[in-house]
Amino acid sequence: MQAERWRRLEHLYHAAMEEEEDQRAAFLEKSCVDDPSLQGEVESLIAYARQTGGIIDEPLEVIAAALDQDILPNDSDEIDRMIGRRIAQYRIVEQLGAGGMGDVYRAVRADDEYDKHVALKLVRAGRHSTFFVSRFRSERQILAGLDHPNIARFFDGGTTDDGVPYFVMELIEGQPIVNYCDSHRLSTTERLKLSLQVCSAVQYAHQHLIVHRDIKPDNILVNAEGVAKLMDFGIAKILDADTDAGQRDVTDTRLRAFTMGYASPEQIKGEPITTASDVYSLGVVLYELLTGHSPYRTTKRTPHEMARAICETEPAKPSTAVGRSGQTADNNPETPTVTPEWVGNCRNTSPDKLRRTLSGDLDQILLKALRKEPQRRYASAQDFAEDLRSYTLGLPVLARRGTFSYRSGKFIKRNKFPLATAAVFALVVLAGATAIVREARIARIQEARAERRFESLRKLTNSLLFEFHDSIENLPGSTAARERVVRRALEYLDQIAAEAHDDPATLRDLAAAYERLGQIQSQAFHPHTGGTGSLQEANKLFEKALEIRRRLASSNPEDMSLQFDWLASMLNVAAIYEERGDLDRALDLQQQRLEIEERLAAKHDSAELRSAIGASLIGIGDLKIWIGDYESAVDYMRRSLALGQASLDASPHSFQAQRSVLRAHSWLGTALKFDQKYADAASETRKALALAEQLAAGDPNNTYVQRYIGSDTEELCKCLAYAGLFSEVRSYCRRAIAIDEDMVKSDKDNVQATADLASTNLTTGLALYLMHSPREALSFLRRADSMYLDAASRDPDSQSNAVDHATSLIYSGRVEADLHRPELARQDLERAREILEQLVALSPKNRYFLNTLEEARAAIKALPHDTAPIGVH
Amino acid sequence: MVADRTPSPNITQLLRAWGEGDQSALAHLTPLVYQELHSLARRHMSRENEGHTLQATALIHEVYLRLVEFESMRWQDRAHFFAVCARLMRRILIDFARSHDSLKRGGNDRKVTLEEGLMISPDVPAQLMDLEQALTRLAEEDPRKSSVVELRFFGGLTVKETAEVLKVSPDTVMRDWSMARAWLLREMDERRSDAG
Repeated sequence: MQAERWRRLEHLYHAAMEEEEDQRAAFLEKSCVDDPSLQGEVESLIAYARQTGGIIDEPLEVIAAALDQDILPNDSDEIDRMIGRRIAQYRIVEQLGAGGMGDVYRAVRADDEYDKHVALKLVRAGRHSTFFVSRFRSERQILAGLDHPNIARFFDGGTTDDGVPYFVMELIEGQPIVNYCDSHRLSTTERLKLSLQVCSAVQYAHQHLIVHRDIKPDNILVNAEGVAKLMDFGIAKILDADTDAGQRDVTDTRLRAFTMGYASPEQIKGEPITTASDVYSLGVVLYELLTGHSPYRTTKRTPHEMARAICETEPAKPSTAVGRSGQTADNNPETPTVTPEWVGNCRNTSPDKLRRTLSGDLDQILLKALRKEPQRRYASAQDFAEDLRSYTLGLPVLARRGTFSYRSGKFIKRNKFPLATAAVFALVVLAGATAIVREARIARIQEARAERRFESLRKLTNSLLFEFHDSIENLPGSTAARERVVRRALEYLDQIAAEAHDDPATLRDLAAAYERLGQIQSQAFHPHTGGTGSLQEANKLFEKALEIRRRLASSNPEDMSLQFDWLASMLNVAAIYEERGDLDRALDLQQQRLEIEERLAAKHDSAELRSAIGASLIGIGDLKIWIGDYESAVDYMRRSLALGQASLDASPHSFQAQRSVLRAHSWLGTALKFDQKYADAASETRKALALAEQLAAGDPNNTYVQRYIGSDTEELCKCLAYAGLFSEVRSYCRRAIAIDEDMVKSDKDNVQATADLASTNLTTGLALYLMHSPREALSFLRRADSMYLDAASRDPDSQSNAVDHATSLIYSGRVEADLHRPELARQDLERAREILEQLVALSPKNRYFLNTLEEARAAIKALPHDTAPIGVH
Repeated sequence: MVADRTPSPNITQLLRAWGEGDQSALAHLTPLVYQELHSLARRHMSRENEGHTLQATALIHEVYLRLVEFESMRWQDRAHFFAVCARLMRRILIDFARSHDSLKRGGNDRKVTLEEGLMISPDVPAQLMDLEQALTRLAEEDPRKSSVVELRFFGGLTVKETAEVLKVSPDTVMRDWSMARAWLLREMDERRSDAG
């Protein structure tokens, strides 16, 4: 019975935690009538659940650090003993710090009349093991071989009377570079100049086959003269194969004493360290110098998380990072909270100016230094420095030339470079990209990492098939090349599929890759651009992906993310059925999807799932509209509304719930409009509009809501006109046009904004036509026509823009006919018919297309018989 | 040397065998990995170490870094490896705590200031051992909850990773963690007042 009681305790604990605080006692009393002691136990657990503190809430390394602090012996006695001691001709004055291998002291040359101060580094007492001594000697040897103005100079070295090795070097009295720059409020340019000194030191070391391996702000001091000095070669490594094996062992030690925040991915992973590792660390330092932030967006992380961030997370662009607040890069509680203002102030500029300074070249330069793969970084500190110098001189930078799009785009445009070469180039890039997926499979790396790798594949395929495809699509005969690119990708994927067996991570990658390729197929070879059968290909690919997703989802029924992937994949296939005009199959699949969602919701109810169901209901309703089953469409929209309303009642402040209700009101209005219930449609749309405006008042920059305001205003204007409720029509139409004009102005490249504005002009023309103001109507319809032409030239594939365009032509034709200008009328109507016939050919079951085509044909038939097309006269 | 950086081949082979279903490999594996890590710990403690590096901290870094290396292992192996490492981390830290607790008992009760600026009460070793005892009792009541704590607290795993290792949903991990945490806090409190 013990287990029984535990289960009950557990159940009650979770149930009580979900109750509102003031209901909890009553709830428990009711639930524990038979066992009051159980009530007490749940209550005491809940009381403890609310307690904070204790070690259980601390990250493990904090606990470890506390353990260490407790046990570390106090070295102060030893230091006291050292002060005043004489070593060779030097007298120790004070301790400066504890370095990698030993302690650093300030010393004076006892025989020097000028009291010259130096730094003396000494192996710490008790650390005289062979290991430490050999490492210490290695540092000494490295330093002795270097003579550069930006590296702490080596003076002397030897062994004390009791056999302890030491060396003497230049004493640098200065601040760590970050602190120096901030306290002197150095501008970005001044910071860059200082960094060039550091690059030069690193480059010098590299030329002497030395990799520093621990470049960080604390190891770069800037003295009073503003000269940067690179210090602490304690874990530096000699790359030269001539040095004896003993030394190489020393530097290859597993102790990995580097500072994590500045380490390169290969250091973290224990892969070979090269000069590129120093370039990376330099990049981290420069990132912090320029932005005031760490590239990893973090302060308190477990080493594990930190390691992952270093190996996997792409850093934000520096120009983005400077807009952030709150993360101190150096983890020091004394540092003021980093805000954009503070960062700007330290650089003697405003946040906005700083952002503009960084964006573009500097973003690219830093991201290139911080690439995860060593071979993709700058080849040397010198190249890095060259780019920084070019930037300060306003010359083009290497980092930008290096990006794929820049290179391929510019290259192809400029040189019309031979297609065969282009295709080979594309294949090489693509092979590299698919190799990433293959590698991911072979290495069987953790899925999150695989996803990110896949993300790189996606990006590469993207740039390849969009940028590359765009560049070559106007070249004669490029179709074959494009097809080869896709075919090759497919071969790789099918091969992976054959070897994937049941490895879930690989299967997920594979499904995503098929989906990506499907998208490329459906877009790159669209019938409008001359390809044939591509949608069918895309369909096959999406179906392959769907099958994999289905398998994954059903073999892991508890993994919700797999279930969601499956659902998303169904939506893809449904969308392509819809695009191919197979509305019945699209509907069938959407209904299956809804059933699955409802089944999942019965088990794991969540707001996300409820919202998804709401969206599916609308999706089905939408299909019903296209099929012409308007009554049923209205039903689905009502169900979606009821669901959204229930969510909203449960959590009145949930934005998601508010959005669901807004969405449902809007769509219900549309469905009612198609069902010719215009007054009801107007009233639903009014509700949607009121809700959207209310949401916008609280969140004026929310584009989602703004789009609803735009489209609902337009819908309302239409419904009112259809319903014959003319009094408010003009004012709503004016508002709708004003909203869309603003959108177009703010984003000129956005085709959708142009199409939206065309649509409001169409609607206004239509409303005015219904209100018997034909000339006024005509001016709006003409405007709509030219805007749709513009939109079609920029986005030829949009069916919805095309059908709206045809509609605008039908109405302008009708108005022209009413105005007794049959030639002009026929011209518009024939254009409409042509567009619609193309659409029907693409989607033969689309009732809306068919009806509109019928309407165009009827209008042509209704024209006076003696009117022949213009040009016959 | 390269060989020095990769996990010793024996462990790798055993992990692979284990991943391929050879359950007996686990029995060989645990002591091996434990020994590897412990020798590391000994090295850290033998003062052949930099002055600024904290010892238990260094050890943890090392284990985490190993985890990163093991990310190239098969995923299933890795899940198991997470579990093994969490268990090892627990044992090592408790060993640590035990040895130093005996030294420090009756010592001063100053607060220790850490790099992060956090204050932790100095009886960390004692608290850690209390937690260990409470966790052992939790395992008797509800083994899965104790695993969740072991993986998350000692293993430093995220909710999602914990869910993967235990083959339950992240939701379940969150719920288990919530209740286990409350239960452990109470248990530790009651023990302490019993003892006091």
